[in-house]
Amino acid sequence: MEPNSIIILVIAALMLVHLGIGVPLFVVLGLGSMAMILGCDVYSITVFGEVPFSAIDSWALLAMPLFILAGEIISRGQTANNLVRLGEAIVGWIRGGLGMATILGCFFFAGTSGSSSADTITIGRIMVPAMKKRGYQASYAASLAASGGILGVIVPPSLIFIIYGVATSTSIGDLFLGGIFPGLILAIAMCTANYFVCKHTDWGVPESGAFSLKEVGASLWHAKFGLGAPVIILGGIYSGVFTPTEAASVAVAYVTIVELLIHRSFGLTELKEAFLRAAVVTGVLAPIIAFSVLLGEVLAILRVPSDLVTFFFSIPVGPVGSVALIILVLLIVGSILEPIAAILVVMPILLPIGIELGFDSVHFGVFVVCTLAVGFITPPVGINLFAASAVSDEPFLKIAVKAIPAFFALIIGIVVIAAFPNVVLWFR
Amino acid sequence: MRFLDTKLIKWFIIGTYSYFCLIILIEVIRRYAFGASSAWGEMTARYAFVYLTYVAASEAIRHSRHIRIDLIPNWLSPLKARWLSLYIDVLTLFLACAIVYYSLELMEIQWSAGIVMSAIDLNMSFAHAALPLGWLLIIVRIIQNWVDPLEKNNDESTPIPVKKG
Repeated sequence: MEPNSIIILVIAALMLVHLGIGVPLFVVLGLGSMAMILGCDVYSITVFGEVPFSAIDSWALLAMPLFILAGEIISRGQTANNLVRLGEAIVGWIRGGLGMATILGCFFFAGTSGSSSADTITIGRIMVPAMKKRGYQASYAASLAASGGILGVIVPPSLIFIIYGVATSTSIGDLFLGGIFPGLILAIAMCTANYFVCKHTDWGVPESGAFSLKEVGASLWHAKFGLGAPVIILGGIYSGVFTPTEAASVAVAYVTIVELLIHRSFGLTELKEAFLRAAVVTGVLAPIIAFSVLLGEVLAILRVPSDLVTFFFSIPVGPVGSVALIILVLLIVGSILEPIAAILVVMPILLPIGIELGFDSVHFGVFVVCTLAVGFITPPVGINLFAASAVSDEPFLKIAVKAIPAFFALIIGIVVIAAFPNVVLWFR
Repeated sequence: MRFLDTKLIKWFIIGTYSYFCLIILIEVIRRYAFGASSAWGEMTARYAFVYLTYVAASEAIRHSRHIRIDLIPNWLSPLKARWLSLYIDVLTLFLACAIVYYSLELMEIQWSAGIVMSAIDLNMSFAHAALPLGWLLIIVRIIQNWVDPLEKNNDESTPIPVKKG
């Protein structure tokens, strides 16, 4: 073994230990890259005065704070109620319909919000009490909001796609378009799982037995502003009218006008609060991005990704086994690390493996994001479980147990997404 | 140091955030309505974002919002957890000091070499000052958390305020 390899392994182990004892991720990534620069004598230590600036000074990355802000603003308004009503009109008449409406509500809401916990909280606080009233077990109702919330990072616009796009130089517009059908597949998978759960319990007996086209029409009209946002964002990007970053600023303006002037959901004080909360989320994510960019560069100079690719393909599992292995690794990483942060940590190593396996970078990105997103509902660090626990007052672990059917439904959906590239690359 | 918890930082955040939201929007409108656009709009939006990032990161330090795995600190006795927390803060301070030092060094080079921004005739070090300022604020906030801790606010644990019912 080369001396550099031993140093890299020791530093990687130290980074894991420090992450395990609760050192913030940006510090682990920052000091880890510093240790590698000094220990392996590559690069200059002066990059610490430069990279934290240049990594953030990016036009594409500017879409991130803007979509975070749009999500913060719309979460405080009435749009979610209207979208949930639309979901109810479409599936409310089926057994378990209210649960399905929760997932559909999350799907529609994800068209404006790019974060999964915001999705869980916004839809959960409307639907969990409603489901409880209709006889659902409270923890199961909360688990539906938690698992539906996953769609927040898969259905465009999605923060995690912006970050993946910036980190791997993949087109963010393509990733957004690629996320539409996988989002739909996962939503349908979770709705199906919910149908079978409700069939074997006495939950979710629908109040009205019949489907009403009139009600669908009426609720579509009510949800027009909520559905308008994704149309403007995706339509604008796809038709080339604006870049994803410009689309994000248009989205901020749109949701502000809708909630502040049309729905009159809140005043300027609440808008100020939305800015501050969005800023803190930005301040949490951006340093992680800066240092993972730096660590990625240092690792690339040290040829770590290519060595790992060689190692990975020396495991005799075949292509299908390799994909299964990637899914397993991502599920584990996603369960201990916030998925948005996890994508930055794993991508420098995983993307070369994916490309070697014959994946397209957009297809691979969507597949990886979907798999990591399952981590939102798996303990110990399932952010959506915490969010659902906050809206329902149900214990975290109880919700996690009730999310098991959704977990398996998601895995099936992910296998479909991995196996059929056209589901993602339909627009090419 | 309590003034940092009140208006100053909050208005700085709202100011920079609103600036790049509006300037990007104005550039889009200008392009379609008047067929004109400027290079400085995009550039200053990016710089405002860098300023916002590190000032907001210091807010996240103050409110303990940075992403970390906090299972072990939660298992420890309060005394041990405090020692661990001290160790973590020392590491963060070390990183912050390194960034302040090397970014000031770079600013000095930019200043003496007369490097200007691409779209405005202004020294690049004014943009780069986002790094030392932001990370200095991070240092101040870490110390502030020891000298003058905030009371635990449950509301901070969720990304948006939870209103029930």
